[in-house]
Amino acid sequence: MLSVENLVVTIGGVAVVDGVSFELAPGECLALVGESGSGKTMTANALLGLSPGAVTADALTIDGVDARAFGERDWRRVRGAAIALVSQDALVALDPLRRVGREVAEALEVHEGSLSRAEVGERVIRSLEIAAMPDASARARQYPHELSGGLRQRALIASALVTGPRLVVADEPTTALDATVQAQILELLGELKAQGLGLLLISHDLNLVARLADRVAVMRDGRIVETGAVSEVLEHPTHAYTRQLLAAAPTPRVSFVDGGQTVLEARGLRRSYGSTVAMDDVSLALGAGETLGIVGESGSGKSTLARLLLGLERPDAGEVLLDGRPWSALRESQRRERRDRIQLIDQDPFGAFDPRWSVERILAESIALSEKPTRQRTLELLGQVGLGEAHLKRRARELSGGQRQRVAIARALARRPAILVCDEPVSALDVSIQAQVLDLLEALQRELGLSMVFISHDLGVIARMSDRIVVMKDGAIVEHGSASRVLREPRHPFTRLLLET
Amino acid sequence: MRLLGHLGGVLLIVWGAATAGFLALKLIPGDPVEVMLGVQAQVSEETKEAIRRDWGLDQPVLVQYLQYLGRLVRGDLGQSYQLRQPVAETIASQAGATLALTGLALLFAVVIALAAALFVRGRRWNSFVGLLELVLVSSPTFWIGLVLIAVFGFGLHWFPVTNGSGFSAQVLPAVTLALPIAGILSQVLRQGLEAAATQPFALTARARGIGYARLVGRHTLRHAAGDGITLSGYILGSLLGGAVLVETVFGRAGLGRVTLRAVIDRDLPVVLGMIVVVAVVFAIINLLVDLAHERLDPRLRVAS
Amino acid sequence: MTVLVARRTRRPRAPGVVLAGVFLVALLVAALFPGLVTPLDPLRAQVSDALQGPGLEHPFGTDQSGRDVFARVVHGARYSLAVGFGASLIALLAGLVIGVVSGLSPKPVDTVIGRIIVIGMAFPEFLVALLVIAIIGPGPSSLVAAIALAATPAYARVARSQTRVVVRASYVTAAVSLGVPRWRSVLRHVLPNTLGPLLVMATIGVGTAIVSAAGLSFLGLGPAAPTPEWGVILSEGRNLLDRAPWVALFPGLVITATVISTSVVGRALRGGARAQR
Repeated sequence: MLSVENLVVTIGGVAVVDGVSFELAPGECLALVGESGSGKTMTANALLGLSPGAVTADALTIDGVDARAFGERDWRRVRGAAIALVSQDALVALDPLRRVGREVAEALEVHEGSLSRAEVGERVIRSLEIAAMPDASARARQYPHELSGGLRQRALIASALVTGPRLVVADEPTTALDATVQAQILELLGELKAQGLGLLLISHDLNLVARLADRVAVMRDGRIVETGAVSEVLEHPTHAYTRQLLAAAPTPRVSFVDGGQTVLEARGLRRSYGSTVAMDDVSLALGAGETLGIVGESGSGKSTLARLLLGLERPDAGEVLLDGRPWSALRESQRRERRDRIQLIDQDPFGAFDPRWSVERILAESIALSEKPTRQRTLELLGQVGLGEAHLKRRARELSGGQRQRVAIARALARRPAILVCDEPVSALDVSIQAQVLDLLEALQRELGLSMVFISHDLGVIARMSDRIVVMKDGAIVEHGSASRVLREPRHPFTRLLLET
Repeated sequence: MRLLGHLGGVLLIVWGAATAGFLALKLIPGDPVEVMLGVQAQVSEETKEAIRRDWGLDQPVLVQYLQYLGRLVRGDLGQSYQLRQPVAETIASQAGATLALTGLALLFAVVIALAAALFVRGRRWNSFVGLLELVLVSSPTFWIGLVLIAVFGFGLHWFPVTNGSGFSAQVLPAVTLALPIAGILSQVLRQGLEAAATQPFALTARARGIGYARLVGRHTLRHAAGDGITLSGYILGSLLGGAVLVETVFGRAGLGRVTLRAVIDRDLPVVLGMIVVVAVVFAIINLLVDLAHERLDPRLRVAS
Repeated sequence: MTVLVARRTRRPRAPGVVLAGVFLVALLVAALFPGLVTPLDPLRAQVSDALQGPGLEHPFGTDQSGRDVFARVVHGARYSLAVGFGASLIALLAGLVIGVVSGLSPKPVDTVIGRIIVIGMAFPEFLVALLVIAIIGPGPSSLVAAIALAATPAYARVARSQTRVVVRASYVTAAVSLGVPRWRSVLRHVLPNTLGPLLVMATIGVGTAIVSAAGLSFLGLGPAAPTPEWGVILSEGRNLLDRAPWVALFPGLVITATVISTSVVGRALRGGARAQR
């Protein structure tokens, strides 16, 4: 039904897609997997005639029709009727100024213009119901920002399905969603596939692919390096890059550290912002040399916890103790003296530095707080995080995401801390870069005897890094214990839900 | 409830402007009576005292301020020093001409800008229009008027040059006033359309098979319009400021001429009156702009 | 998602920017050393030469008193540029101070100042300048004061929003967790991050100020004739439109070219600044 042979997309003289071939039959899901820059989105756009570059192919057959010589008019007839697109993040993929119902109806109005308004309305409701949208007629009158993330994504899917296309290109359809909601959308897509839809899934997430796709094609630098049945490729990869991707996916820890004396402790922390309760009676303890993993979805209170532990905010009730002595109760000027003990690695590598500063200046500022900054010390720190002299003069804005995180770690280490609080430090990075940064953190912990609080929404990453795990939901701790126990015998239903997805 | 908040904002702006104007007048060095009478006047001290009492200038400042506010609320803008008539009357009698001029100019500007935004496609045309916009935005309004008079008035004799009351006499002044505004409105609309077209929702819409007309009409124009509406305050300012210049260039009667005379003659009550009137108009326009934004963008509406 | 490492290439300067820059430099030369650009005396009235069209001897023609228009425009450059730069500089400094102070103040103070700035911006610059002159009286220094006052709210708004961004920035929080006192971190970052955008604004603002100054002079509120200020020349030209349109045409052309040049240069600077983010 979809047949692609030797597809080449050229932008500015560079082939961003360089000879890609694959086929897709109805009722099957083919996944295009790769990291950013691999050309997977460019491929998807080319299949809809929406590529910004020049497209050539030996074969490009959509639903039996040869699309190679298509002009804009021809593409418009095919888009939204024979082949449809579902993008990521319905908050921006749907027109925020239009009601959901109008967005869903649009493809109908374009391709089946003879329908009456009543008929269009009916088809819209039906499509929303197929996308498992509860209370469809009410939702259709609402605006995208009024719906939750999962419902929005369903509306987006409904808008693609309303004309009954048999081919759907889904470009990272669940990336912007929480883990539990992701699972629901996946289920929906699986059902649609079972009903005969041909699905081209674009993703960077191998777990997602394993659960939904029948076949997978691994892309790198515009080419497909490996392709085959999902179970085959994921369990017995033949290409080195595939193996690298799979290896980079975090695997759970096997050896654990028993924490020594308690270095950081939280007792009965409470924090509200206005009428919203961000944190409700949270207590935990971090032992010397161990990693405490804190996992939860957005809105669970993880980031608030990080700020409270660091003394960047004051709890409404409860207290934080550092090395057994009061920490949160102190005035900032008193805390400042002891700040060298506990440092932060933040999730946003792009906001963490003034973009105009050079690496040298960034590190010097931090070193100067503990000792006289010397070039030797700066280079020592850079070496510890795997960077070198070449990076000294670079400005922060010139570094990649992974490099910036390394600099952030070096900056924190400059103060010779005993405790590192890592708040989603790898969420913004590609999988293979993630693995490198996590390796680095583990190595540093071993070398320097650091104790770590590691916060993430990604259970895989938590499983890899933690000795003990705390699970948070809606500002409260729902489960805690040793990592091996929590992951093997989860007691709380929410933990079980997280593990399933 | 929100409407009350908006109205409060309007009153705040008007009150702020009126007070600022009042303070500014009081800060002028020199005796207002002498300013009004002019340096040459040979008037006895008693007469000056009488005039002071007439105007209430012998009262303490706070009392004067309260009296002033009181009169404002009743719509009494005071008495013009030079023209010997109520300021409100002066303004009201001349407002019509200026309103007609600015109204026509606004119409021209919007039509030209929309036409440029909707119908200009293709790299070459876009560059050309962009250059035109730059020139229009950079040219002094009054110079455009002079050029138009020279070319279309004296040169081609298409339009009358002197002040007439017919429609043809209004065309050149209105076009003069309209062109710089058309320039910036066109810039903003075109940039807005282009920016909206690169957003993810535009990709989704195009993936449904829609064409250019529908993309603009149903999607991007509404997004760009928001930017245009935000510009309304600036446009209004341009219109009023430009009106002063254009009425002078074309020798037309109107609020522009009134204001200019008042500025040159130091007729302070008229100046103050214009400040208040402009403040009221602006405050109302700002209110309308806020309301229009809410109408346009559902995300700005408070959840009901 | 990794970001491609930015290459340190210099983008080729567009020819328009170069042209604009050259024009502005020429203008500066004319303002500082008018004698270098034209040997003729702007005030020399030679009635026998009156109302000549543009030609080799008088590139912009002559006016009703026989004065060379080109010389008048060249000598007038210093008035317009002085007012334009002077007013913009004052507005920038005043706006910087007000905006930064507001952004650093506690919330209630910041909100009030913010409101005042918004109200200030609600009024059109030209009208405000006009009304300021009504109060302080006409004259060249009044022009500078009036235009500066009218332009200040725009600078203040940008300064304030930039300051607020810095105060809330992740790198300030990161510095606090490092152990840097908050106030030191903020000050270190506020000024550089605020001055940049303001300078770019000012580049375009100088053009707008020059137009405002010319407009006010045209209305008779600036320097008095026979000062060769551009607005004054244009007002003289108004009466000569039927006989000698060049008197009005060329000075206005020069003004337009000046504003275009400042806009183009300003936009180029802004593009360069954005690439540095």
